[in-house]
Amino acid sequence: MGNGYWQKLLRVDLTNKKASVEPLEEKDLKRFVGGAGLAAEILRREVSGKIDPYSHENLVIFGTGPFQGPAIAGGAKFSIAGISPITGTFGDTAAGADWGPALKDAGYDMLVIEGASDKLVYLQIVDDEVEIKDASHLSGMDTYETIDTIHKETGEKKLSIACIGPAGENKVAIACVTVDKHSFAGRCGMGAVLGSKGLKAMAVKGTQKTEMNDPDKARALIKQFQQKILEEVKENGFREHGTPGLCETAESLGDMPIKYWDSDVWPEGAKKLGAPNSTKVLKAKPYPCKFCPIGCHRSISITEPAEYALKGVGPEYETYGMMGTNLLIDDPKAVAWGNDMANRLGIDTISAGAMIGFAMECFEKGWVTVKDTDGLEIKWGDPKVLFALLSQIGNKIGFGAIFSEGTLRAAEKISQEAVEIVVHCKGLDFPSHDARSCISLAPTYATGTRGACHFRGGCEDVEMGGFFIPEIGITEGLVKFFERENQSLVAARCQDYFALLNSLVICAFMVDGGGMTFSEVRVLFNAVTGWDYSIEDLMDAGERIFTAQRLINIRDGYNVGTDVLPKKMFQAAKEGFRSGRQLPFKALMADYYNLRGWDQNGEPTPATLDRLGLSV
Amino acid sequence: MDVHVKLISTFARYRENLNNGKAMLKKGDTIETLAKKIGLHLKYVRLVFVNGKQEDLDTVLTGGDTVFFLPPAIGGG
Repeated sequence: MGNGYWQKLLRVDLTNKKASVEPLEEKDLKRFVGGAGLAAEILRREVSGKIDPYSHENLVIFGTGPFQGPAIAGGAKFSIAGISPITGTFGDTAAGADWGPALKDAGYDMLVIEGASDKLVYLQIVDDEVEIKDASHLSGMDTYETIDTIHKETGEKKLSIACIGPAGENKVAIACVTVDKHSFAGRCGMGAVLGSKGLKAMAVKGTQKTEMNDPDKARALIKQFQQKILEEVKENGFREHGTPGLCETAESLGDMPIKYWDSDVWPEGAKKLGAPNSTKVLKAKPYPCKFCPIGCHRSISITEPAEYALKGVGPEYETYGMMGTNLLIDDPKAVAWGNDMANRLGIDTISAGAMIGFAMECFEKGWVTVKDTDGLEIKWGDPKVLFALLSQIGNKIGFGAIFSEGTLRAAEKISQEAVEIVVHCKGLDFPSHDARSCISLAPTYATGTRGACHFRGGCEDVEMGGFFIPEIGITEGLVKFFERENQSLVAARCQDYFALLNSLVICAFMVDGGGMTFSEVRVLFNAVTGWDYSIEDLMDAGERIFTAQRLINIRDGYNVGTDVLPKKMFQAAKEGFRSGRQLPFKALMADYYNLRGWDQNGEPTPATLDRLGLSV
Repeated sequence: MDVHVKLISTFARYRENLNNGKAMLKKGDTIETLAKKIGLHLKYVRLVFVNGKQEDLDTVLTGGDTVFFLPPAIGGG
């Protein structure tokens, strides 16, 4: 009888060009589940003390969990973790498409990359055949060309391929990992860490299936949840419009970034970029990952104007925010083109948009001039500036090279005034959600183990009425806009819940938008693993995982002093929904630390560590 | 009495149930009555603003009110 795991870790030592298989102990799986959770524990054990993220000591850990074997809705997902070159903290990122199930079907739960190759290589894994192959001919290729070339030269169309582009090879800190020309592990710069290791791509195919504890029950549940989610997303518009359906709501509630977080309202812009307009203009269709009934990714087709002609992956809410309203660009076709450029260069669209917004503000204020930019006028609202800077950032050339270590390091090279306008936590640029609007985001961002991230919690959707978790008391009406009561509770519980989801691994959209309940996640987990976990057991695992990630950061010097928000978050809006509101940050953080069982220094107390089984 | 109704994003498809952006109600009708009349699924009616102020479903409307229905946020990624 199985438990959804192989209990096997594949370790590839790039320095010595060796691959080995190690057993994973069931007690570790029971405590850290898999994905980003088990990856954090491996990092905690194997990487001691603060390191240079580009040194041979850093690891890149690819993680799956019990949900990658069966055809579970949202189970085509995997995590990538390591020490981030943007923040210097624990970093993790996730993507979909086919790669997570492919690694699992090849017979492994985790893949750990260590050391570094002196020449560019790529990894090919087909079941127990693991090859480190020369990739010198792939050097400089964009991500899509890389994937096409590997498919062509191997003749293996069924290889799922995760790879880096020029940005990763150039160690641009915001380099992402592109998967199957479809999904993108965007945040935290894991593409740059892979570049530092000389690893261009990971091509995987498997022919095996993990065993489940109760396969008949699991299969029936999988079918039932697939159908339920499909019905829900057809009804609520998520399938038809994807995440761009959020644009107008987010803008109306002051949640969307406008003019690099300096402006408060832009309904006309959000309307043009959001659904239904962009769905129609881009002929956008759902583009599902394997087994997914939602299809939140967009498949688009632009035929005119000729300069924007494009058929492929389209932008999502985050990119409409960071490359759209953030830059005062309101043309969905221009954002789609920028999105495609970033995907091919292999850079995170969120941080790339943040960098360009920051540059536009610096230019407007006269801190950066045409003398610095080889004549390029970095003006708000100009798509040509977006394209030019994306190319410069991704290729590490011209003025854009200033961003190679992240927005904060770029600002430090410009001036102290410039440092003060950067909108980040621990160096990671804010995504398209404003902590002044949904204030549970304030503690979520400030304590985020990878820096500012809404998707390590999803609490903004609780505030904006679309996501509840009644099993843990997160119900409609628990929090009200701008009121402090229960906001930190929502932040902490959502962080733990998402830490669990990122370890199972299951796409959070199944529960946030897809209508799947926590109880349903639990019953499926138990059918696959046979572990009979209660909701409390699962939440304990989530809290343990989140805390283990924080312990890495504490060990490396991050604590209360770095649990802070940028200056702009204390700038009240002049108009719109947030008008005149001040963020009660100190009070929210006091509530949060207290709830967490952390001391005044932001460190878990001995009692908290004991409770979670994390004491040394 | 007439009320002005604003529908955005994924709710835009219900504009066809309005008459030039307006809906006709009886005295004493609430936001819930209006939502049902337009065809909105109550499960998704969680963010409603009347003349700029957030209100609950049982709020009684008056002639000339502007009612703004926002689809709840999902898929914030």
